[in-house]
Amino acid sequence: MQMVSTAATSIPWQGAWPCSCCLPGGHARALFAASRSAAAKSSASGGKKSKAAARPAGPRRIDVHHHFAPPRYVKDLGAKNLFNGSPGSARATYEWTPAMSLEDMDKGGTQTAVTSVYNGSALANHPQARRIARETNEYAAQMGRDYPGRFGSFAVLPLPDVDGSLREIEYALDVLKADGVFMMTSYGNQWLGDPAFKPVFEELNRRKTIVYTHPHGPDATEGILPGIPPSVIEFGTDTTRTIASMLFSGNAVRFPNVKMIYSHAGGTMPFILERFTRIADTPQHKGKFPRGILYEIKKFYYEIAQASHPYAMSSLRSFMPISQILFGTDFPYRSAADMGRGLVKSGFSPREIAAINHGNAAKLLPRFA
Amino acid sequence: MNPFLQATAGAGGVVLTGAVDCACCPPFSLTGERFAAGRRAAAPAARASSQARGKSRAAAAGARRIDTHHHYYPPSYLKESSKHHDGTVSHTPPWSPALTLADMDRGGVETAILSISAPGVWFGDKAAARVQARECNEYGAQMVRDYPGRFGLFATLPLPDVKGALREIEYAFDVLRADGVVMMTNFDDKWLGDPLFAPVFDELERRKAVVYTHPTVASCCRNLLPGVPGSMIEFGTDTTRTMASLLFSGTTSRCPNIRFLFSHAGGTMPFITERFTRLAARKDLAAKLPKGVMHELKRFFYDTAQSAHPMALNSLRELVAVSQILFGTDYPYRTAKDTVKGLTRCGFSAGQLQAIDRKNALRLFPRFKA
Repeated sequence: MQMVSTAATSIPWQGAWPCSCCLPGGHARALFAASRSAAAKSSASGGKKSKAAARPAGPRRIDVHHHFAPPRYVKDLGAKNLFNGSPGSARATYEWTPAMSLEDMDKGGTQTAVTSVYNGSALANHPQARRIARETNEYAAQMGRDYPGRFGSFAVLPLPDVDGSLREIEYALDVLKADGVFMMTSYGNQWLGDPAFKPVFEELNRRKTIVYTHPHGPDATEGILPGIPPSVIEFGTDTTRTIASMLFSGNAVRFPNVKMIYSHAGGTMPFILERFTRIADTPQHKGKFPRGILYEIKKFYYEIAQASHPYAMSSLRSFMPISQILFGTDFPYRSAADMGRGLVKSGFSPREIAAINHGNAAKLLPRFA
Repeated sequence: MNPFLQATAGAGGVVLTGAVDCACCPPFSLTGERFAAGRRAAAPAARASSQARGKSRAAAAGARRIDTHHHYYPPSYLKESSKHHDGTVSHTPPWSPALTLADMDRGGVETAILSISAPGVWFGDKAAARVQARECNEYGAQMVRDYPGRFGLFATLPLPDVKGALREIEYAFDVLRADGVVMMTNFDDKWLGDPLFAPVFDELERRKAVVYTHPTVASCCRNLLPGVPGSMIEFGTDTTRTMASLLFSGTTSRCPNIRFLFSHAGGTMPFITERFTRLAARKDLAAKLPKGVMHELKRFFYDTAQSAHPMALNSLRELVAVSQILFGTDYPYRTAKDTVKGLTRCGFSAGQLQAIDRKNALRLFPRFKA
């Protein structure tokens, strides 16, 4: 495996950009194109940059919802398959570099971003999913080495390929020391409680792994509302579905050591929590939750990306302990500064905000504490 | 006159007992004990409700609630919908006017606006849907007459048959004096902003109608998860979809006089408000919402059925004024008492609760003021 530094040696990443809002513009585009080719050429010695990676003061946020798009990932899956027409998607597909991540992190007080791929549904069922997943995870690991303390990794698995996923779990966790794994909320018509994925969860349970899930518009709902992107409604619902799937399949109880993180404050689950608790009380599910369904729901983690506003937070807070809420941005669709402002507007106390920004995630990811 | 209507008129409240043990009931219900109690109470309740007929209003003393999310099951509808069991609804609890009135009395509900629940009357056949819609509306209108002040009616339309719907609107409003219409959140996977429905909304706009929507399960999303009924997740999201459809098609801006009422505190929409506002900033969509998407969201009405808890109402209250929240129970799936109890845990003031219980609804249905 060729170890290529991800550091953009020709581009300083700390606070040097004139203006982040100009990023989609031509000037920035040219710069990033330059940085990308520089990254491709530079050697592992780019890791020297690490000394610039002094821990920023301030909120020291740990962003658990932070997308990256390694050049090979984009090339293998095809930019046209990844790009969905939105400005955020353009940034991810055509402009992303580690420097772009770091710039937003520095602006928004993020100490560490745990990266995950964007548009992971494009990888599912790709004929070369195993190779692409491996190379993507290698890239993430290299970023972690190049910028110590700044990047963690949720390793992507070639699901729904279970054997390939088991192999990638072993490599990503044992060799690359990934911080957890990344899964889509569903693959085809299978949500994460599907019996097919049981061997994967068995292994992850044995390893006490963090599983970060990201939603998409599942195949079933494709094109359901003309002109309305799936991220608006379908994403949230698919997270809710996979939470239900993990619960009612018995997986949550069966695999207590897996630490599940759900995106976007749980999709829409908090708002309809009572539907969950009532169904759990029916005879059909009797005995399924020895400690109660709420125990399981409150054991999961929920990150705040795209949900850092009173509409979602007032609901989540009405039953969820603060300890389960993690900071997330959905970068490059949203910024760390933006999500940070949302938290303040949502009425959390400074102590609660500190826990969400850093403390809660630091317990899950002690190497970034 | 239909035979079952004569039965209603003549039976002193104890009617439709055949519906109680309908074939589609599974061996359990969500609130098994409560329904068992309901069954036991059926006989005395029938007596009480026969006393309640005419001018007597036993329930009027307390909160005088108006329940805008309250289902009824005309026998013809039960028969027809049970033929098309598709997993949309997990079960149909026992129902009769007597049970309904007993629950209303227990929960301080003076008036319930009746509506058909999912799946509605559309099963792919225009003629059958027209007959079903008419029978549902006649039956509902008869209940309104039989128990003055106790019931209102959201008329059922045979959508997606637009021509039939326009005829039923005319009959339901002009002859039956319906209080509004009920629409499923989608018909044949067409959400309510679909251009097909534009003539219906134009007519309802002309009449300044109340349009109450009830969720159903889109055909994409039936039986996706083992052990998880469609009502648990898919209902909420389908309300959210139809709100998006109505907003971003420009229907709500085009029909400022329609009073839209959405079930279950807006499905899941309040929780993802920011997704809506961000999408609405897109140029093509901003043009469809000249007063802004927030203006529309804040003028809609939202009921409390299955949502009388802080998880939903804390979120909804961030979005709308209390004036837009209406009391709704989802009877017979939930009881009035249960909903009342839930509301007391949501941190509303006494004045706000009165508004939700009754005053807000009176703005939509002034005929119940007396």
